[in-house]
Amino acid sequence: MKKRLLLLPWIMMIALFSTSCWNYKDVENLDVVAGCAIDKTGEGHYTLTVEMINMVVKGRESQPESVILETEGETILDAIRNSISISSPKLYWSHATCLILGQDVASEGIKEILDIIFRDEELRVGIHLFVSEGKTAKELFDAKVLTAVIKSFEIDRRMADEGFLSKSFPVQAYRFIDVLSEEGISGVLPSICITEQKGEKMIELCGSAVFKEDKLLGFLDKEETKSLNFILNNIKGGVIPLKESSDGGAQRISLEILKNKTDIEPMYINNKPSIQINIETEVSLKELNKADNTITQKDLEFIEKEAGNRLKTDIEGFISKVQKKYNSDIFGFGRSFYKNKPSVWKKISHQWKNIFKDLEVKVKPTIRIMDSGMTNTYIHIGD
Amino acid sequence: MPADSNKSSINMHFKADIKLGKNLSDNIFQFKKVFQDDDTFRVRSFTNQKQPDAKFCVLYIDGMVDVQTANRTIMEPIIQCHLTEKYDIDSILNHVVINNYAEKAYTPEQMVEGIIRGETVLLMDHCSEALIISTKGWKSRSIAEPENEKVLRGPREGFVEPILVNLSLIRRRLATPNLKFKFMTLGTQTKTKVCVSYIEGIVNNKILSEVLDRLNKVSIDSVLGSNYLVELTTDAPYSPFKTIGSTERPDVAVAKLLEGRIIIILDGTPEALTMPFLFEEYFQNDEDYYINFYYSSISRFLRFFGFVLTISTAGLYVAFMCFHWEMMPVMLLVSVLEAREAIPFSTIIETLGLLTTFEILRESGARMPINIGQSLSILGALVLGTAAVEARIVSAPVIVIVALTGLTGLMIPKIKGPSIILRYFLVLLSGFLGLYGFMMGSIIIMIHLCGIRSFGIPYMVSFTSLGPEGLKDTIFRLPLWFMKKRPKFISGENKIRQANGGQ
Repeated sequence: MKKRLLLLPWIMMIALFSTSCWNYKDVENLDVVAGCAIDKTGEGHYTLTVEMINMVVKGRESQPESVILETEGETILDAIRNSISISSPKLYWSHATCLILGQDVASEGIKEILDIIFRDEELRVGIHLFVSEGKTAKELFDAKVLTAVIKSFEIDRRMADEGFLSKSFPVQAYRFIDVLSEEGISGVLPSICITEQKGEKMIELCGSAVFKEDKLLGFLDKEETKSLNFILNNIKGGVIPLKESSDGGAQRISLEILKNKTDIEPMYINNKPSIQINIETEVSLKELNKADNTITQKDLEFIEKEAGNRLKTDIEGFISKVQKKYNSDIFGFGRSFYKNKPSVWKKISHQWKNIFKDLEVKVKPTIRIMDSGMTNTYIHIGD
Repeated sequence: MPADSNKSSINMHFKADIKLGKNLSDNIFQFKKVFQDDDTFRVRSFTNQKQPDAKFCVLYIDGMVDVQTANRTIMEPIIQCHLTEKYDIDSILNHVVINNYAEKAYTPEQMVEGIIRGETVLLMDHCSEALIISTKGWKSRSIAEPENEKVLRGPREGFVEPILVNLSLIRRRLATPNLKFKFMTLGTQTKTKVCVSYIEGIVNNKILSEVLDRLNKVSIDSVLGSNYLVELTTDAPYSPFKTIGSTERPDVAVAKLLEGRIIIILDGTPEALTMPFLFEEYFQNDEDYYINFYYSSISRFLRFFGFVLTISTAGLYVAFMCFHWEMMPVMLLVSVLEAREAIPFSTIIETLGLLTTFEILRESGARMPINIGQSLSILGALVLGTAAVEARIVSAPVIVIVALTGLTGLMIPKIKGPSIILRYFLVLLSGFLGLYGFMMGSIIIMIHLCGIRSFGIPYMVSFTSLGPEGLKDTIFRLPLWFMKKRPKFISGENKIRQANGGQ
């Protein structure tokens, strides 16, 4: 009995001490990393440009400040650890929000970078990945953002608002890793570049980067990215602008997307695979200047048709461009076969590359105008 | 009842070295010897008007006796009456003394005890017996609202020190002959009167005999406050939680009686002990039943939540600050970083130090005269507040945490003791092992709470028993029509509180 009683505290001690949660460290001894850019040097070493949050004490107040640190190493971890010889305390990565890959790094393959994100306990798999459109990624941290102190956080926040625009899309590391390991789909990452505004360099989200396996092939612009979002069922909002020349002369119409559902339907007819993309979009009428009294059902139908045509041409053109230029199945057409028609996929998967290049894709958009905003007429000009 | 059977063994009776004889002056001399060096002991000899040979003597202690009563009921009638030739102590008792409580005493011990308790002993010449006549009279506090258990609505009466007044406060609220008061005496020196009270039929007899059993085992020289009994009879003496409750309000005491609980009232203490005491009683308040159940449920819930907050906030803060930075939202981390920058102490030292400072402040405020209180609060605000932060000795978040801890800790004064201990316990464990330590500590507390019992009733029975019956009056106070039965384990045969409760 006595032995057993002694056993209880012993078990509790073991349970307590074998947690992996041992190191007491005060919070101010952390250098919180907000974001990081990865480039390669000529010798193939990695250069990490790290943005970290530093506290500046000014009298009684202290304020966060963005500090950029550059460190180099043979591997990523080597570079991370090398930073200790430049700066102390040790970098703390759990709150890093974005990882920007340089063009060189991306086109040589990013598997090892993804691996350390996946393996390391500090780096989060939910970190947002970006590809720099400029020559190097580190120059991004020289550019400015409009309001925030910490640039990486600002970029991260833009991603949260992206749903109203749909010209870019956030990709977390684990999603990209998922896509990489899946059959019949290739990865896409948002791209980021420097633009000039009022003579100052600013960071801008400017579309997306196409990958094949883990290597960068090229970039898509914003409009193309929007089309891509339509195909990938990523649309949560955004605008469809129309320029229409009907009898009343040229007029511009804005349709705000309320809801979108895209369905990729794989077909296999006469031993010929093809794809039909059904896009169902619910929109709201936002800008209109036609000089009639009220909006009629006919008007609405007309606008719906026009918008559908616009989407169809945009998306179809974009798909054929990707097929010709990159030949990378970023839309997941292969995956839709794999999922919906597995027997067909077994037959065609080994030569999917060739099939994808000439795959027949039909886009079938259905646009429904749900409301006309807070009025049902136009603004009359009374002369 | 087993209470009386071994009463003599627990109360070491005073052995008076007196042998009363027929000679009055000899008897007086013997009493004077017992009360030697006690200058409050008074002896007054007198004789009857008509028969100067009839000598009498009253013995009493000055200050304990209401002199007016003694004069009017003993001396006046004895001096002025027409004593016949044949008179004895019985005729004096029956025909002369005008007092509602007077009895013949045979043993000197009874007489000495009577004198000590403020009664007057009447000796008579040629007689070896004496009369004990009730003349008790001393000043005591009037009935007032208890300071520690104030209510906005509800009765304002509180217990006072004299035990009989307290019993009358209870009796007035419970007009049933089933209400029982059983007296016993505790304390070999103090001979404190203790009253065990319960309602027959509603009380659980097993618990009652357990209570009486434990009281009988108490053998101590003095019982000055109710805590003497609590510590000597509690189930879990080393636990920070108490298993015997106490209240200063008669209405609360009556409510407890009606739930089948037993209350103990001590002479000289304005408090009633209630037993068994379960965990949820810390959070119950008589006002909960005097106001609308929605509002009382809100405050009941807040009290529970406040208890959780007061023991855990500081511990969680330390755990997050020193181990789990990744679990904080990044903007919170940044703002904490801002505050912690250039603070010389580590988080755990800072937290422990400020918690202790708060306890010092509370302790010095607790027994401080009111006129110094204001300067204390100014000092406290300065020490704990702005100055320390501005001098960058402590960081602002810790102040917030300690303030929250203190504020929620003051919500229930009754649970103050346990929460101080548990708070430090959790802070130390969190500082040592982070959230794992915190969870370990919480589990230990839960195991402890579920492990202890109060007079055989599991401490957490309302929370752990299956079925909703026990939960009706715990975290929320359900409307009264839901509570049709008395607590299942505590009460005896009569379990029905309201009509339809049987169905």
